[in-house]
Amino acid sequence: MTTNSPTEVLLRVIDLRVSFFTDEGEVRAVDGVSFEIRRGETLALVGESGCGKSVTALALTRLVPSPPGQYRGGQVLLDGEDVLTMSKQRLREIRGARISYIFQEPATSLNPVFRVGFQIKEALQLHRPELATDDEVVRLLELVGIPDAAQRARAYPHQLSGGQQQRVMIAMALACHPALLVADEPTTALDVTIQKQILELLRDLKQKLQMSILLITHNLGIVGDLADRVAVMYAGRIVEHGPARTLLTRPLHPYTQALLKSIPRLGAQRERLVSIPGVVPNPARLTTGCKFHPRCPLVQPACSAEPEPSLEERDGRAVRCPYVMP
Amino acid sequence: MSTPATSLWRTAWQQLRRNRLAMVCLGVIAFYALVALTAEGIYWYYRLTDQTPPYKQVNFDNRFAKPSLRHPLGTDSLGRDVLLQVIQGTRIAFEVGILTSLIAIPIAVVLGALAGYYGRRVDDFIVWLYTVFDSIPGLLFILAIAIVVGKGLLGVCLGIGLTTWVGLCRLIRGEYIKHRDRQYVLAARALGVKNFAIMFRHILPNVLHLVIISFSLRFPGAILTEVVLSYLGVGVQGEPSWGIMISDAKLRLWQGHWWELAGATAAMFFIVLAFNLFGDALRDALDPKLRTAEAKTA
Ligand SMILES: Nc1ncnc2c1ncn2[C@@H]1O[C@H](COP(=O)(O)OP(=O)(O)OP(=O)(O)O)[C@@H](O)[C@H]1O
Ligand SMILES: [Mg+2]
Repeated sequence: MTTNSPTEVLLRVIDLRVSFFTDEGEVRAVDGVSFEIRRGETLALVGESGCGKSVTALALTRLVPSPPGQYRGGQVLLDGEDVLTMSKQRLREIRGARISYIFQEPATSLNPVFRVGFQIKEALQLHRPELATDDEVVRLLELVGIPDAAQRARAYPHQLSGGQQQRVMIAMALACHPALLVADEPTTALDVTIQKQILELLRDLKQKLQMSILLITHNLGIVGDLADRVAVMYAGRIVEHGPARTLLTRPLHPYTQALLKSIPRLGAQRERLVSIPGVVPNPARLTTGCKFHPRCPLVQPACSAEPEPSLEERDGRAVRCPYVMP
Repeated sequence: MSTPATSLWRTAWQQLRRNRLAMVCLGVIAFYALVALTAEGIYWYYRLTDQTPPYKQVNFDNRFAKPSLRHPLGTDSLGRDVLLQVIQGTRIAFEVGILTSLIAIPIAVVLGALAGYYGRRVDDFIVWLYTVFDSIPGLLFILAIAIVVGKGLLGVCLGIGLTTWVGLCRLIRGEYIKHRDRQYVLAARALGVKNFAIMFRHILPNVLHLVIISFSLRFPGAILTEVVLSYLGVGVQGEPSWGIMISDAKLRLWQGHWWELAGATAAMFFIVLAFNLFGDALRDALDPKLRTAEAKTA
């Protein structure tokens, strides 16, 4: 992959902590996550369901529903400005204009009662009102590869296929030239061939528009083509972090290795997930020591002892396990 | 490839079109609306030219005339034409139906939206408010309001309007609780849309069918309540509403003067029936979820 030379950092997340307060008590959905995204770079955030990927993504523009969510600490610095403490007014200026999102379910992310062209126009109206024209809407729809764009702009969401709906979402997200596109499982709800097309579209757009992407997925198989770097999350924290190429070919953390083995094969007859033995820990209950040790094939007696191993960094790779140092 | 964009509304309208009873009811409603409009014209013409309108023209020589060609519904105790009064009654019925809706629906929608969308303390307060309103006996509350602001159309409409928003408000609140967690709302927030715009531009069109159903179902209720209020003497003053006509006519029914009572009652019966049937059909067409839910329980 072409990693842009170490240019300036666009987004720096420092020790982010987000908890949900439920009947079961405090759920530490995101528990001390740090990473950075440079301009033009794609970071993939990978992990099993419930590990806190979406909450991390939402926290980047303070979108975590609150209650029950609560920010318990850390900083999200966008061009040096802390999102977690800025005014609501400033926040609205950033949402959609500097950071935009596409979500897993394109069918439900669009408002069912409005034509898709109208919805794209509204996105333009919010941040670039001078460009809120039908021509620009058509241009955006063409940009995301929708044929017969002028016609399709007049369709209602339910009249489009899943892939086209996701393209419309991408057009909406890109309408105001965000510096960072957060794609939260953008292809999970789509079938395999459409998945590939959408990922290719994202790669094209990334190059064309020079933007950064935070790609969230539980499938390590799709990150290879798109991501420059990969961060692997487990139970609210990052357990491994590194350049995509080396991390995918030479995973260090036992959890990353297990994840790689569980990749569903593209094009296989039935897409089956080879699951990792054991269950994701209930975040409301505390595990001592390394969070992964109950499921770890390389578990040692010391693994359950406090303190939890820290994220050790060397040669641009980082891993949270003392037995597999890079 | 030309797929004409069919909206939810158009689908609903197509379904409604196929329902013959609903179409007949719609025809009846349209006819009444036309009559009401004509009556409005007559009323304002005579009022602005400062003349006595025909429906108020007293003729003592022609009291209690039986229905005839000149007076298709006969005349009343003062010799006034009953048909002309029934027509004016239609005007008042529509005024009451529309004005009460203009009072009740905005209250219901705004409070329901705020409660459902924001939840927590806002919700607690609004739920408390409508529970209080709901626990006051409706008719007494209306009477109290009508007495405070004075007898007449305004008092009646305020009274009915301020007591009939609770049902719709509950419904809207419930819908907003569902919709606020929908992905399209999150997507809108992620684009930087303000809460008020999300509430009223993004979510409201998704629940608007409830407002329209509620409008057509509450209309007959408002008409009937006006009749009761006029019957009780706190209703419209000085104009021939159906309630006043019925109230006056009941005294003379035993004398065999049935036409005044019959005219007003029949006029009221058909519009109330038409609105109720049409409202049900409208609900079926606009709220498919409700229909399937009902089918499941049946
Ligand atoms: N609104 C909420 N209320 C309570 N708990 C929540 C809420 N949203 C998320 N959580 C909790 O936070 C944790 C992380 O959730 P998150 O949605 O970030 O997972 P994820 O990694 O995105 O998983 P998935 O792959 O299923 O999308 C989960 O344990 C979940 O139970
Ligand atoms: Mg998620």
